[in-house]
Amino acid sequence: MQNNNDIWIELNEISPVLAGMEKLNLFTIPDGYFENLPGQMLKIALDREAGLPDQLLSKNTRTVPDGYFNNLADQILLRIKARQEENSIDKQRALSPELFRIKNINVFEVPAAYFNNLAEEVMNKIKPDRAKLVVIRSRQSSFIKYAAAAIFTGLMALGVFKLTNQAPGKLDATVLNGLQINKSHSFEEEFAKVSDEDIIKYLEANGENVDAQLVASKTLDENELPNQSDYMNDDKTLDNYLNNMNSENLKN
Amino acid sequence: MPEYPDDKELLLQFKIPATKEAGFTLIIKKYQEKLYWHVRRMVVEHEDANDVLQNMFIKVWNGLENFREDSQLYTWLYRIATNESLSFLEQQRKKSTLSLSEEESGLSNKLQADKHFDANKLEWKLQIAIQQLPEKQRVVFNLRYYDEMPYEKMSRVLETSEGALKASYHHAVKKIEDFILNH
Repeated sequence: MQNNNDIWIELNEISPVLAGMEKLNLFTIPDGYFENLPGQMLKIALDREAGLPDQLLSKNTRTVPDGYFNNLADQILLRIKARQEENSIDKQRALSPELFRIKNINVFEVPAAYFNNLAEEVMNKIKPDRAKLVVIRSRQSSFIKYAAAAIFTGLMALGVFKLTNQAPGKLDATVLNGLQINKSHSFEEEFAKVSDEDIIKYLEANGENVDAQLVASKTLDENELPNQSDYMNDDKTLDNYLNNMNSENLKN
Repeated sequence: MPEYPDDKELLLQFKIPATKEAGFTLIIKKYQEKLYWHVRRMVVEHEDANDVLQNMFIKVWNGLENFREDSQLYTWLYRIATNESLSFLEQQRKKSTLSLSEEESGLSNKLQADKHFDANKLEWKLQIAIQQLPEKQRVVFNLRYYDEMPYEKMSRVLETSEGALKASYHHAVKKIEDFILNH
């Protein structure tokens, strides 16, 4: 039978350093733990023998703080969420530690105070009234301008058509000048020289005497007119159409 | 230290229905501190040691009626406590998917989390060094160094030959000495 001294001698032979150390107990335990343990253990054993489930055993043998069960569900959910996040982070870290390390380093820059003004800018863009007004005003303005140009062109074409059927000797200087323009195919250049104000004055003075429908029926083929969608896609749709129409009419 | 009846007397009390509870209580009182510290040195934290100890005593309650008197109660209790401790550590490892070496460093971390921990003090270095040992070697070292258990008894507790236990203890002491001298 070995005694304590034999065990010390054995230790001293293997490691004098360890044998020379004082044996200290560094662990602490709750006050009264050993006094209460036998009673607790007996209760647990008897409860188990009586067939009480483990959940009830836990309640009977341990105390819980006040309100513990009121908050238990929330606390469990919080811990589950925290655990899921930890797992997710751990997986990312395990997959590539280097990528995980640099994941929060942002190499992109944004203008100063960009995020301060972003909400307001977006709201300005998505306000339906403001957006509609801008678009419609722009389209209406273009359409009226092109409509006026179309009527004016129609009148000019009708005038030229009539004048070319008259004898040259009866024509005044203005008409002769117009015929010259027609012959030289320089209508575009001359028309470009006419100011908007002169066009408006001309329409105000003579437009009421003109049968616009008649002019349109003789000069425009409805099937050849551009569609509404064409105007939306290309601002120059009407310009191109008028150019083509003028060229063909003047050739005739 | 209070005097308790010998193990034969305690076993007899336990087997008589009228004195069964009193006998069980006395068995716990007689061995609780030795078994607690044996478990505590293995699992480090009190709450874990308490859980292991409670599971262990429930097994004692259930198995004591069939206990064969040709073996010693003391040896049997230590065997259950050791197996319960190792099972607990195994479960912890499975839960957290830690390897054996990670578990050892995890136990070291628990030690270092103690508010009294002081890395410069030799006694704390010793505790860290013990946690670096492989589990079985740690059991052997603790039983020999702290519980001063003879190899013959230890052989019955761990069901291992005395020669193997001596070798295991020798290796454990050398590793601990090496750790202390180099840290």
